[in-house]
Amino acid sequence: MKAMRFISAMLVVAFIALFAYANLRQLTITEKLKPVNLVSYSLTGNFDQHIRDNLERKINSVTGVTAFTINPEGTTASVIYHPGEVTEDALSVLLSEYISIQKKELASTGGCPVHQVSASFHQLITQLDLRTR
Amino acid sequence: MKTKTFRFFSATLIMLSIVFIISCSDNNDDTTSATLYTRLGGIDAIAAVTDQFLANVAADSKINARFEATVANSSRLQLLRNNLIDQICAGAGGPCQYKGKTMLAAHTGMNITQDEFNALVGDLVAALDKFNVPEKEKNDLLAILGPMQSDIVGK
Repeated sequence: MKAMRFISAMLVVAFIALFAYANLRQLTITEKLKPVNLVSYSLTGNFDQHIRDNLERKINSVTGVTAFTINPEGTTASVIYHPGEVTEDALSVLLSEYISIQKKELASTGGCPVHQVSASFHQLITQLDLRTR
Repeated sequence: MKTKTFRFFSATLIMLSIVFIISCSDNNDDTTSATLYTRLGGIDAIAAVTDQFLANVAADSKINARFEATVANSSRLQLLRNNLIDQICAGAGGPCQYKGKTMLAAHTGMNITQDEFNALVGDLVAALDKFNVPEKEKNDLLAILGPMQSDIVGK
């Protein structure tokens, strides 16, 4: 029973410490930027430069889209957007008005060395930070 | 008595934790000078270029497999983006501090080829071109990032 109380107290202290850290640390200029998501699509079918230009203009003008690219081969498109301003569904609908698309299923492990553990800790701190809401 | 001691102990721990955290918090100076950072357009411009760079990389069939798992996960993407912005911003003399791993530590064991590195640089140049970054600023930035190649390729 005592051990249980002690563990509970330690957990509370740990949470308070994390919460305090999340809210008292000075946010860097980068941390003050709005978060982004990325979605990639496989493109099928042929489309000419005219369609590509129109599509780029259209997607780049959507509020919340920060970057849009179609690779030179015309096989993949990637969009980076602020999730609070535009949804992935809305982007998919818009893209499919111009070309045939299929959302790319991306690998879930490996990749560039930004490790899941540090990324998860970073996300936890961001979630606890009331200033970033 | 025991409860009182326990409460006192817990309260002391909480206070110590808060004092420790406050003392460890960053003290970034937001002042800027006429540096490459300023000439590039500040943090918003660097963030825009970085987003375009990441989108280019994610669509680049030569190297996107290297980044797939990172960009597919929103928390990893966020950290990668912040690290890239911090790295460019700090390298350009802006008010940022890169907190990620060293390039050598980050890329050891990945066996990145020269072609892959060149493709990455091409994606960055394309992002800079999309925002019409002047030639001088573009070259200054590439000169800052270029020396990292020896810590990235073939490790």
